[in-house]
This record gives sequence, C-alpha cells and structure tokens, in this order.
Amino acid sequence: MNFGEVIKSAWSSLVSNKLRSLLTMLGVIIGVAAVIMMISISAGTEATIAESINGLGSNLAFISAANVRGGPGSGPENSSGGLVYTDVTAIRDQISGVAGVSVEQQASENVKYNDIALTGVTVVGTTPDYTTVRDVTVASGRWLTEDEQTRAEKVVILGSKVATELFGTAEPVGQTILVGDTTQLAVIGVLAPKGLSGGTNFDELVYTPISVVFKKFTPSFFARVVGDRVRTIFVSVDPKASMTDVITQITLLLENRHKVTADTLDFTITTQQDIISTRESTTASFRTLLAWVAGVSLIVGGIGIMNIMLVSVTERTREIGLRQAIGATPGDIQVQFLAEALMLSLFGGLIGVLSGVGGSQLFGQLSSMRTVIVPYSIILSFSSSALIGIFFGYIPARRAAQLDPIVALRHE
Amino acid sequence: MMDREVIIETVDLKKVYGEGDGEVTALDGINIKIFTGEFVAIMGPSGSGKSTLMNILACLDRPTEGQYILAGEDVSEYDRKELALIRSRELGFVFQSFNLLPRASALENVILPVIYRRENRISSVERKDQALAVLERVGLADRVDHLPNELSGGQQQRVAIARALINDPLLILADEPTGNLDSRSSEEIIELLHSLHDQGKTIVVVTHDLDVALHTQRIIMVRDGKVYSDKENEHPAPRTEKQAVLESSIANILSEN
Repeated sequence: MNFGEVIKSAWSSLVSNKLRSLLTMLGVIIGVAAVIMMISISAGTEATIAESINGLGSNLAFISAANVRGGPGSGPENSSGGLVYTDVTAIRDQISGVAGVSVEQQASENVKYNDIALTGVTVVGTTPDYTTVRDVTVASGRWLTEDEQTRAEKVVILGSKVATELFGTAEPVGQTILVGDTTQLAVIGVLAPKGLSGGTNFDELVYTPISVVFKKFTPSFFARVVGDRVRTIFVSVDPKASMTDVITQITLLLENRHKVTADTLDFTITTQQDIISTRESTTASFRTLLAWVAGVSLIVGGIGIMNIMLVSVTERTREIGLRQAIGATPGDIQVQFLAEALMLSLFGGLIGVLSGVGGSQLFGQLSSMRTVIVPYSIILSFSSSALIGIFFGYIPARRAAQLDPIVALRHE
Repeated sequence: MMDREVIIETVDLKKVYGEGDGEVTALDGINIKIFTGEFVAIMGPSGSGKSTLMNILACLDRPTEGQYILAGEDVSEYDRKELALIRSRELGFVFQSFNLLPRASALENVILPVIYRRENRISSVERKDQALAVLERVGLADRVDHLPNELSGGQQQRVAIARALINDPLLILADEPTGNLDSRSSEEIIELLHSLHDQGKTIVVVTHDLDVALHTQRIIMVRDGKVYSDKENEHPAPRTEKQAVLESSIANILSEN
C-alpha cells in the first residue's frame, strides 16, 4: 500500500461509523482544548498582573514597617514597628541616587461640596514627591509644595472621578470642599485620569499634605500612640543609579536611625522586581500544574482511542484475515490500523485546537478575565495528539498484524 | 495440449499440531504433483486433513516437515511476510463464505488485491480498467457499483472469483466455493470455473460435494492425513448448457417427489 491508499483506507474506515469516530475523538478534543484554554486563561491573568505591577512604576522600592516581636521595652524607643515621618526627609536628603521619596497616610472621610456628598472617600495624606514616585500627572491646577506640607496648609487635589462627581463640568480649582464634616480644604488641582494601577484606583482618591492628615484626620487617641509613624515609604530610584546600592544605603541609614541591627530590623524593603519575580514564579508553576491536569485528560483520550481500536480489530478479524490472504503482509496490516488511530487523534487534535482557541476567546469576552492565546500551547497540544495516536494505536495495530490468517478467516 | 509444467509439488508433507500427549498429526506424508492447466478436486471427510493441506498449498500455513515447492520455489520455510508476498503474486483465493468487504462496492472489492501488489504497480485508472475487465469476464459488468448486500450469493461469489483473478495468478484455490450457494448458483459457479479452466487457469478445489468434484479433471482423495486415491476423473459431469439445464430439471423433478 502506498501513502495515498493508506490514507484513503483509514478515512473510509473512519466515516463508516461517524458517531463512533466522533465519540472516540472526544477525549482528544477535550484534552487539547483544555490545555489551550487553561494556558490562555492563566497567561491572561499573568498579563493583567504584570501590567498592574508595571503601573506601580519601575525603580520603585517600598519600605514597609515590620513588627518586631521583642515587645515593649526590649529595644529602642520606636520598637513597635518603626518607620517615622522624619525617616522620609532623612532618606531624601542623605541617600544619593534617589529621585523622589514619598509617604502616604490614609484616612476615610466624607466629602461634601454644596449639595453633593460622597461617603467613605479615601483621603491620601502625602508629600510633594508623590507625583514622581507614583507616576501621576496633574491635569489642571498644581500639586502640593514643600511649604504647604510644613505648614499643614489645608489644600487638596482631587482624583479625576471625584472631581467629576462633585463638580460636573465646572472647574474645581479655586473651590472649597468640606472633608470629614469639619475641615474645609481648598482645591488646588485635579489629577489626569489614571485608573486602576497596582491595586490603587487613583481617580477615586483625594490628596492632601500628610501633615494635614496627621492633624485633622487621625483620631486623637490614635495619634498619641502612633505619633508620626507611617506604614509605607515609597522611594523612586534614579534609573542611572544601582537599585541594590541604594537599598543597601537606605538599610544602613534606617538601622542607624532606629538603632536596630540586621537581625532585628523593624522594616522591610521590597522592589517592584521582587514582586514581579514572586508573582511570575507562582503563576508559572500554576500554569504548569494546569497543563499537567489537562494533559491527563489527553491521556484519557488516548486510552479511549486504544479501546475503540481494539474493538475494531476484533470486529474486523475476518477482514484482516482476508486482506492477509490476498497478500497483505503483517506490516501492511499494522500500518493500516496505526493510520486509523493516528487519523482519529489528529482530527481530534485539530478540532480541539479550533475549540480551544474559540473557547478561549469566548471566555475572554464573556467573563471579566483576560485570555491570551499562547502559540506554544497550540503546538504542544497538537503534537501531543499526534503522539497519543501513535502510542495508543500501537498495541491494537500490532495485535491486528499478528493475527493468524487461517484463524482469522474462521472467526465469526 | 498445454505446456505441462509442475506447478505444485509436495514432498512428504507433514503437519503436526500440539506436543507430547496432545500431539495431532493432521498430514502424514503427502506427495502430490499438480501441473499447469489442471482442474483438480481435493476431497475427504472431516478431519481428513484436506483443509490443512489446502492451507499449506495456499501458503497460509507452513508444513512441520517436508517440502512445498510452488512453481519451482521452495516455500516451506518462508516467514509470514514472504508467504504474504507469494500469495499476492501467485495465488487467487475463493472462499466458501465469499469474504467480501461489506462496505465496499464490487469494483472496490475486486481491486483490493492490487493494492497489496509489490511489483507491477499500476495507476488507479489502470486498476479500474483491469477490475472492470475481470468483472466482465465473470459476467457482472452491470453490477460493478453494487454493495455485497445488494448482490445474490452467486453474484457475490462471482465477485470473489473476479477478485481472485485480477492479479493474474498462477493458481486459483477454492475452498468449498459452492458451500453457501443454492443448486442453481452452484451450477453457475462451477460453469464459471470450467470456463476459466478452459482459458488455461490452474484450479484446485477443496470440496466434500461430489457434484462439484465430478466436474473436475482429477480427484485427489485424502483420508487420515494421507492421499487415499489420486485419479483422473473418469466420469466428468456434462458441460453443455442444454445438458446442464436438462440435468437440473431432472434433478428438480426428482426432488419434488
């Protein structure tokens, strides 16, 4: 038999019972589609996360306060987790390679303008460097100045969505809003829309000097305990400087100021890169896991093919005997049945690829999750389907080839 | 007279199954020679070994001892693949139960042996032509696209004979060719075999039906694995159609009483 005849023969065998062929292919179809869809969903999620992290700004380092387990009296004065506001100025003034340092202290307050009231708005108390560090731009008006910060001047910059909600199309700059039921703040600027980035929706916040938040929006009992402690300091590192270098310097500076040692650090420094790496390795291993799970269903599909091929060999025992009698060698018979198994698996693979790609796109549109079709997943699963056909078709094909023609011809 | 070459020669052919106590000797030393152009019947009761002998002559099985020389080639020790190639090249088979592929047309069934040919490969157009020619030879030119279930038993057997002829084999082997046919179809088939024989084909028929055997030239009788008798058929059955019709109507009248 030449190649064309093998194909024709396998094809005619497959179409002789379309329903059976389709059901047999189903395992492979589902397996291939599953691999493609799982990988595309996880790749989409990875992409969304990566973008979100990128929105934080590269060259960004976060210094977070960490609690020391020593308890009171076991260490220096600010032993219960020690970043303070003065650390900010220290870092800005004493470390080289720093483009900007900002700090935030948040509160949740009601905001009113005329008749319009918004509840539970997050008020971000921050510093002049905030715009550099967090990569936001002012659309109208201006940002905070150092002076306003020192004097705790009652000024506010609005996020773009808050501005629209309170003022509509009117110009907010120059107006006064009421924050926290008692404090009047003058609007000096509005931010350009930025949206959701790094877990923060910049458009829905209002921004004021941190000193104002400390004075006006921090409950007094809390203020007595906390003092001017801050939770997070954001440092934007000059792209030309070495990130590791700057981090080392900051670590030494803070160790000195807080009077702690390397073993009793009351802060941690994380870079955006650290977060990316962690996220990447987590999602990568998750992706591998999903692919393996989907791979299992491919194997089940292969077993289905082997099963049906074995049935087919038994059913066609007389036919095999006849073919042998008229001159088919064992090799001819083996090739014939292998071709049928391979055709089943390849067709299943093809339909699976189309279903997987279509399904991924559909899923991306219907759900809130993003999907990214990954080409290697298509190549991987399609070639797996080919291997499945060969591997699981082998035993039935061999069994067919080894039939004794005399016995086969006598079969029912 | 035709060129009388030896086409089949067996030398002390033996076939033993099983071992030890369970040993069964199916063939116990068969020595025969069959020449080109002969029309031979091999007969015998059940268990005589005639089927075993047929299987070996058909190159579907190998002897345990002895030799089988087919057209001058000793095939006694050929492996499965070599035997398959011999079958493809030299032999044509007709079975009791026709053994046509049920989902293929008469034409496709007849072409099947050509697909497995190793030498002399021809294009698919040539194949179709050859198949049509041979179907015409057996009288089925008007049914080439029919499926087996659309054909009568006799017609199916004719397709099978056409299939056996397509590779122009040296030898046609028929195993109870009329076993599944009524008397009318049986006659058609026997007549067909006769005409093939007239055209020079060598035909070996295994049968237990004396009616069939009487149409042949030579009857070899097998019993207990040995050749019991091997003689020219002294009373060959009549050939002309008129006589055949006459005889069959006599047979019908007789059976009605």
